[in-house]
Amino acid sequence: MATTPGTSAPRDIWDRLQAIDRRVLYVLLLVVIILPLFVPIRLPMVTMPSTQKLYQAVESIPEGGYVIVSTTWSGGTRAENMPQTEAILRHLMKRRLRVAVFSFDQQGSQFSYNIASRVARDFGYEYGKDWVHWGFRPVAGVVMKSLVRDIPGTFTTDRDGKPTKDMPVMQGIKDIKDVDAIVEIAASGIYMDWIGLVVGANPKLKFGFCPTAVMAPETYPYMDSGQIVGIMEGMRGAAEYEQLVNTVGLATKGMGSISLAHVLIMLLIIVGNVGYIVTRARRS
Amino acid sequence: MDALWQDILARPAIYAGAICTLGLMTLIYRENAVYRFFEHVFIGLAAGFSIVVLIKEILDPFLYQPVFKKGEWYWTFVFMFGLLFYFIHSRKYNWLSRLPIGFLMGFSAGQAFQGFANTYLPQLARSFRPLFVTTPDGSWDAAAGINNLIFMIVLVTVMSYFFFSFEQKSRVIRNSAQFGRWVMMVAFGAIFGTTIMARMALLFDRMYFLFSDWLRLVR
Repeated sequence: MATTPGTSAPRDIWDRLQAIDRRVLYVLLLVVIILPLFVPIRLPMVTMPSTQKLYQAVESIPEGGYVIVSTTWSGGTRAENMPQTEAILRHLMKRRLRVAVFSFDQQGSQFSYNIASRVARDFGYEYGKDWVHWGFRPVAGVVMKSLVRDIPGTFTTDRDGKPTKDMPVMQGIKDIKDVDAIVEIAASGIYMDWIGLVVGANPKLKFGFCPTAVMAPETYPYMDSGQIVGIMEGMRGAAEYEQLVNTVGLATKGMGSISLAHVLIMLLIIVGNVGYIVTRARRS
Repeated sequence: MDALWQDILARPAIYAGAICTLGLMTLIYRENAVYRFFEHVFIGLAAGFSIVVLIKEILDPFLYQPVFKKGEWYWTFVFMFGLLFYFIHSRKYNWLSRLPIGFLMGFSAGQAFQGFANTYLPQLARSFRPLFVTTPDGSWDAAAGINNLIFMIVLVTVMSYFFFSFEQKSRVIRNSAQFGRWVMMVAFGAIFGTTIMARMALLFDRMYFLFSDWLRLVR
């Protein structure tokens, strides 16, 4: 809808509707994003089945169960992946499950450590006893194949270089058969590696995935086939999960802004198309 | 008092974040030197951070500590083998870089084979669905049957669109492919819709940071 340099000036209202200056659109977008920060809009939120399934999968893990949380994301997708990470960790720690966090991304390792430390404080989780952070690990395929057979051998040290073998949180954990669930929070297609190399190795293993919204549609066939137990889709999914675990985080606060922005974009698409149809009808 | 000090110490980082955010957002108006400066700042920061993490969490515990502290000298052979990658920059010894590349390709190929079987065979098995579905108590589940029927129609029509090996002369195949194309366009629309949602989330995050963390106008 932006004015193309070198084209003739718009003639009437219908032409102008198809050539609104992009800077005007940006200002409108900023207004609808910022406005709900000052005038909160709380819209009723219906939890999607994909989010509900992930929640139920975590609920079905027996107390003291073992969950690996992988956080393959960086600052670029912080808006979506950070509330997802926080929401899932809150649920895991609320349920008193043992948690091991790590990342295939350098930034993701630092982000997830900060988030897990904060949530652990809220739930009285002790590092090394109730949870551990294995740090950053490169080359996902090698790590996955290795952890299927030998978890302590794959993660010999935590992110600070401390040996993990004597940590209480690692006791009784030998291979993938001792793990109840894996939750991957990612901005990439790494879920395919988990499904291909790890999920099949333990039929009882629950694999949950928290992708950015862009990636969510392509993951649905895997949930349909049961290879993924549930999906938390972007910020919207995180907001739903926050609602399920009774907390208000960044995702819940952002839903008003995002809903308004969607309404604006839909209106602009309609306006642009009305202009196009009327102009075309006149010409013909 | 501790909280106050923590807050005071965090302010410079928040100010730096706010200035960088605003600097990058100047691109909305047009391409400019301020945007390019902050873009390079971000690239430099990300690269520097990655190097530090790599040294601290990989090279130190998996190379330096075993070799120099525990005497496991044999790991140096693996390290030397990895270093052969850098011969890719040499015209004369370029062939040496093919050794680790070949090793990795072989490893990846084997891994891909296993991954393919585990990923797609369950998908294939799941594609065969009953059209007449019953609930555990034996009654007819019409909704599940309709869902399965829709799934089968979509599966077959989309697959028929990808029959490129022969000319689609049959009217049935042509119409099926046409329907499959429409169905895919709906899917692409859904993907585009979620893309917009993702981008709005990123914008909200930055605005929340500016108005809450930096300006403290919102709680």
